[in-house]
Amino acid sequence: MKRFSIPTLAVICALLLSSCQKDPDTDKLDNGYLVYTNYDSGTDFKSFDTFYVIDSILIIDNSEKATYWNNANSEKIVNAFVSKLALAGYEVADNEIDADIVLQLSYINTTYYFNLYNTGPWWNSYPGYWNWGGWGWYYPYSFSYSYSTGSIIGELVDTGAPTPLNDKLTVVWNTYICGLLNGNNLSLSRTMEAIDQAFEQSPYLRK
Amino acid sequence: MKSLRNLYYIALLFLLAGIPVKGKAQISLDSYFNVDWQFNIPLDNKFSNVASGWGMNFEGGYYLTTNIAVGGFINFHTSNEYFSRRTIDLSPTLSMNSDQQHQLFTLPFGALVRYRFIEADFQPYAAMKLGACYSEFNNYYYIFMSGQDKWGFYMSPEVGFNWYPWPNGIGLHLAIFYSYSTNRCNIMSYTQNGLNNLGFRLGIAF
Repeated sequence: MKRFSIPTLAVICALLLSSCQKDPDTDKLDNGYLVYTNYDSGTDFKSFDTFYVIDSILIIDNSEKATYWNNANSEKIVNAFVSKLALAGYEVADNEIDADIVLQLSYINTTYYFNLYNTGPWWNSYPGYWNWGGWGWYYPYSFSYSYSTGSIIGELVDTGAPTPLNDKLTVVWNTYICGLLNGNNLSLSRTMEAIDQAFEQSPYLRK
Repeated sequence: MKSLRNLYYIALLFLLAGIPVKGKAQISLDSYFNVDWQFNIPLDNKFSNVASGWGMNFEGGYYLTTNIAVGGFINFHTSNEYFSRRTIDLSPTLSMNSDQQHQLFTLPFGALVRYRFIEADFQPYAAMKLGACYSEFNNYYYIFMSGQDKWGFYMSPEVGFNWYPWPNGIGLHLAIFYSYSTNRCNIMSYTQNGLNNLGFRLGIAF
């Protein structure tokens, strides 16, 4: 009669346990976009009348000089945000000075600055970031995102809101949209769908 | 409920097939060892509620008396559930839209007491397992993952049998179990307080 020793059984168990956790089936994920939105709960979005969208999309990479994304695709993206804010009941202003709320769009080309400034306000140090009359931007709410390349950030500023030291502009709504690349190229249709979703999940953003 | 009824029929079939005959086919009448494939059915698990067979069980014991054995056990199980695209609230103001793949991995281990009703080739038994449970709650979405590792207290009553129909010392094992552990998670908008499971184990006995 063949006998199995306890050490033999222990070795068999150890081998089986060493690969015991089944990997998640991430193939089921649709490889589509991911949309975050966040807002200041103390802001009355009905109180705003006019808006303006900065027409150049800032490119965030590891460059020391500000670069902007200006081509047909960026124009379509800016226009999509303009259309959504107009549909929400706000009127387009002629410029950012006259607008109650101003939207700045940024495109993440690399996550260099997020890695570098992941514990603080990276935007204060980024060259060329839209900075109107102040020293940086102020968020009245906390948030924490995971950043990836090929993403768009939209930050809506209340130009009339006071800040603790009155030296910054107050962001009252922001969206972070990622998963927009198809290979190395931007998928414009997915981008438009994601922009729709950003406003769909922000029902408070209405006149 | 249909799957539970099927489990009952399978268990009944095994019980009817095994005719208790006193014998010496078991390697040692003083001890036993089980290696099992494990099928697990989560009960009202909000993080991952999909029944699966991604698990194994290992246990052994020594009979202090003819009927009562004490020993140890370790088992593991993985349950994956896909959540289709939806918008979830991560805070009162922060929302996220994505699809998600949830993964729950549990690894309980500890001590057991087993009572076998007869000392024979066919040995029906009842057992209670107590110990600790290590668990990993992982949520995969887009290219990101949010996860928590948690520990909890584990208890699991079980009934089953070891059956030694052959003279080489290897037998069959079948068990039906319930388990509860106090592991908790709070990942994104998903909160789970304790893990309840039903399941069965099918394997070999030494």
